[in-house]
Amino acid sequence: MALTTLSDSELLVEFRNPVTKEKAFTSIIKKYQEKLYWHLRRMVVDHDDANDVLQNVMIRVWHGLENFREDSQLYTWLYRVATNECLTFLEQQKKRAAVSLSDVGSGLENKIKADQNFDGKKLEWKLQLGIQQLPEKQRIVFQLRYYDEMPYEEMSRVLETSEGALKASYHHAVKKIEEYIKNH
Amino acid sequence: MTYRNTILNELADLGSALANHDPQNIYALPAGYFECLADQILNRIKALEANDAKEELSYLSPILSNVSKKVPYSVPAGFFQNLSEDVLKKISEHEDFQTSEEEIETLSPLLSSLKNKNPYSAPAGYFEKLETGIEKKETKVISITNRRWYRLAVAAVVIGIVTISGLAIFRSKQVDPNKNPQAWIEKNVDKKVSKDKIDEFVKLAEDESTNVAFEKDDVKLAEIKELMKDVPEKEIEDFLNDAIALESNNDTDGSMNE
Repeated sequence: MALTTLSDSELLVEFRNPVTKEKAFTSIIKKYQEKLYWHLRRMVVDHDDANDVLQNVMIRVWHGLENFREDSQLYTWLYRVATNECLTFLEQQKKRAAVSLSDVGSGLENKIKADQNFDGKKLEWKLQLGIQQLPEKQRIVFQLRYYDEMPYEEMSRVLETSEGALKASYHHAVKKIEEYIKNH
Repeated sequence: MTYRNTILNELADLGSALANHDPQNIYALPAGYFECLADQILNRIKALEANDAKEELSYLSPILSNVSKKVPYSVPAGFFQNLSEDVLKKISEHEDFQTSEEEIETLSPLLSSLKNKNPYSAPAGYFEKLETGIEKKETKVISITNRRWYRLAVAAVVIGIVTISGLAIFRSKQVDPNKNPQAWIEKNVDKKVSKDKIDEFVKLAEDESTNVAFEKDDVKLAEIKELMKDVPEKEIEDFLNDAIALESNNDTDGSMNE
């Protein structure tokens, strides 16, 4: 049976076998790469940054998957690793920006506007700009709910925040983005 | 107004400069805030109770719910096809990376050298035969359920036949002693009691009857004595003499007629 057709539990078993470890790891990457990539890309905007963060995420997965306790879904755990890695990256960006006295938020906005396909009149580009106005954690909450349609219960395990707080955060985020689109 | 005047008077009494200031609201409200407030709160409640993200967004923001979710960013060609290889390459280039062979080599060169040496051997052609043997066994699928029911039915029929036959035989061998006493005796006595025992019983019965006869004679003699105790002895002698004479005459007559 091809590893790509195996369930997460079966992939974990194959990963823990030294003979099939690399093959199982490749299957896991292929299974979740696009979801994780777009989750990161929407946060960091730039492809090269998203690629760097994604590769760091996968290296963490390689080292940490052996000890994964399976008390949550593999998908949830991967998202948690990716989100933490992304926040770490943005924190490092902030520190560099603080040194250079530039604004990280405007830096991301500039990256959006610098995209070769950018069209400020189109609603989907306005949406991306509106998203970048949000604080980092609120941005993550919005994207997980809006794009990935992740249930609050699962999101609370990814972000280790209560469901109530996540709902409130998302509702605020929607209002802010809507306001931005109306005003721009 | 009365209450406000009271406060202002109080401030004036205290000599406060605030008594002369006209309080004004410096905060501004968005236009139409209160007109929309009730609907917003109601929509928020519906969003909280929504079944999924789509329904939730339709209550929170009809505008966003109608916007295409396609992200406008572009991805370099072949990025996802090569990603797994790039990641593995990066991992292997890390100084701490080791394959399983390298790991055991580091931990124990001795065990590493013994890894491919298997001391056990299987008989020639074992695995080929095993596969076909399993297939053959697998084709012999017998339905247990039907067989079991069949056995139970056959057993019930056999028991019935034996029972009925036994009853028939038993009844046919029954002999009525009133209707056929000799047959009953032959069946119940002859077979159960030996001939010697029967002879012994007959002899005993004869002895008993003789003893009974002697006992009867003794009884008769006693009775005669009782009856004859009042009869003189001369008359008894005369009677006996007459009896003897009579018997003699009868014997002579008998011999003359022959």
